[in-house]
Amino acid sequence: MGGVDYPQVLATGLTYGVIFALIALGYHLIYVSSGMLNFALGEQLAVAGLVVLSLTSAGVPFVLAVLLAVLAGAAFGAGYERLALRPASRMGLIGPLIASVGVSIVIGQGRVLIWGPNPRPMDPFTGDPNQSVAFLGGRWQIQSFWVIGLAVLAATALLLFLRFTWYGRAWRATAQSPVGARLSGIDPSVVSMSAVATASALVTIGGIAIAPIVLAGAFYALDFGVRAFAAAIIGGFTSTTGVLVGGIVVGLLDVWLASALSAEWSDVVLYTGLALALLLRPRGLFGREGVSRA
Amino acid sequence: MTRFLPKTAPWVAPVLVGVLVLLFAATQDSFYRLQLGTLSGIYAIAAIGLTLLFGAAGQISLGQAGLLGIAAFSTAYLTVDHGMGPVPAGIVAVAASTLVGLVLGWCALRITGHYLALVTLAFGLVFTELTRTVLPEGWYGVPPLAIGSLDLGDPQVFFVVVWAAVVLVLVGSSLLVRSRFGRSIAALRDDPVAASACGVDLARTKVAVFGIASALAGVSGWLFALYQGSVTETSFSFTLSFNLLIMVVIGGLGSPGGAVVGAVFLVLAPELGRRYEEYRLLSYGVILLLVLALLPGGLASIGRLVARPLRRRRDTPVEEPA
Repeated sequence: MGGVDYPQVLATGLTYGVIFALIALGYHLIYVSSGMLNFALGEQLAVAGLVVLSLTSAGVPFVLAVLLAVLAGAAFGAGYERLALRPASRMGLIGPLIASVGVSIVIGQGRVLIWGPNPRPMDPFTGDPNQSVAFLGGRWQIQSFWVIGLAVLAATALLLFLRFTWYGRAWRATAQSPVGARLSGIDPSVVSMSAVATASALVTIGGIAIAPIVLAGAFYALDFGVRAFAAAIIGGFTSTTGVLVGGIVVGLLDVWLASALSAEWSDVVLYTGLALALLLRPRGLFGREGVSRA
Repeated sequence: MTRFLPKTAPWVAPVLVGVLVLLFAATQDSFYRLQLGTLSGIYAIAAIGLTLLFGAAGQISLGQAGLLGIAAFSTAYLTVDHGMGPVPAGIVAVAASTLVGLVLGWCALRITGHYLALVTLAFGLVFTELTRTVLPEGWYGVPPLAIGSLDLGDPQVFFVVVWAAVVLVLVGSSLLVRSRFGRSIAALRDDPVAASACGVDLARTKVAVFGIASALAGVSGWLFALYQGSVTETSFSFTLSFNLLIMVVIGGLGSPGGAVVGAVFLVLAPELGRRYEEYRLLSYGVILLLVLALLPGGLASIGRLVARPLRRRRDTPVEEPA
């Protein structure tokens, strides 16, 4: 114990934190627009890098491969919202949750069948894999800046979309009152489908960006997925700002605990904290009661 | 909501299971198949518990594996390190997992739905991580089941013992679902406000259902330790919690007989296609999705669907999704 390198915790924690924040933002979008909880986002994140690797090795230029992967991710999300989550909602709100567990099993196992069980290295977007720069007293991988930059860009674009476009307002209206939205001519089922598609696109971007740092593969899918749940809970599932802040907090906390204790103990503390947070303050730090659907 | 309460007489499923089990035990001399049969029986007990909790009472748990694990680890610790007999160790083990389950039940008083799913998920993960960190070696050399000098460890005998337990649990839970307590459980699921207006003590009912489900998970974990002879944390991972949930869903929510069918199905079905081992988990996922989309009543409802297609069509009101 002792000797925690705080600048390094900041560097690594922020990198992971923005990824947790992206997944948590995905949970948030789906949750407020349809009341569904989607387990599959972690697996989708983990598979994204592999898709890009396969595309580039087939000769597709990198930027085009990323675009294709993000589009494919979105289409996949829309597809399983229609085919798996929606039909399961006959069982009540818990049905889609179980269905998303099924979806994540299918993604995880499909990944092993297609790409094999071993994760694959992926080159950083720019620069040398082992290159790092000194910044704020820590060593930052070049890719960290890509991760943070892309995450900020994606989140900002989404927030602007929600605030300033007709579709965004339709989404927020549905979140506040599905019945009211329906009366104004908004189809909640379209909103819910596009929310899952958007969340899928978000985690695909995150997955591609983080793959050069953690390898492309899905062994961390569950860890990332649950940490993002913790982030969403800390932020309160219903607050956009909240889940983003929650992601950063969990990322920093995770890396700090891992370096102060050990990776396993970090898991124990984080998951216990997650349970306690839910029990003591179910609405999270930023959540409001009005929109809560739990 | 779909009606989850089974409509057959309470003795049908247990008798059916009993007959099938005796037939299987009498005709099977393959050690491997007996072992698989035993394993499916062990999981069936936990699945019945989960179906009471999830299907009958509407309380989700994604951490049942942790409860099995607590019982299995207690059993191993008491028998191997303290030389306790399998039965007294079992009593302590089941008590331990029940106690933890009651705490989870207390949690369910504060939170419901998705949040309860996450808390139980977190509980399961904490169990896995804690055991991986603190007890990575687990235990070996757990003795087989014996009562006094009576040795019940022979695979064929143990198979019958396990399935006798399944039948007992099945009878008990079928009676429970039909009792006054069972009706208050169903009321708790369908409309908590109305239930409490009718005098159902919500808190007590909830905690009690959690207690019952965890006790059954404990029995299952105890039998698993004796069956396996060794206990390591990998047996009680997240995957087991999911598999139990899948058993319950494909069997038909809230139907104890369906949970048994689900457990047998999940353990035995991959054996039909052993050449396709790598597709095993994938097929679980696909089956789960297919059942959710096409057969919300689970496998248990197939008989009813075939028997009364016309009546069902007339009886079932059009459901508006909430």
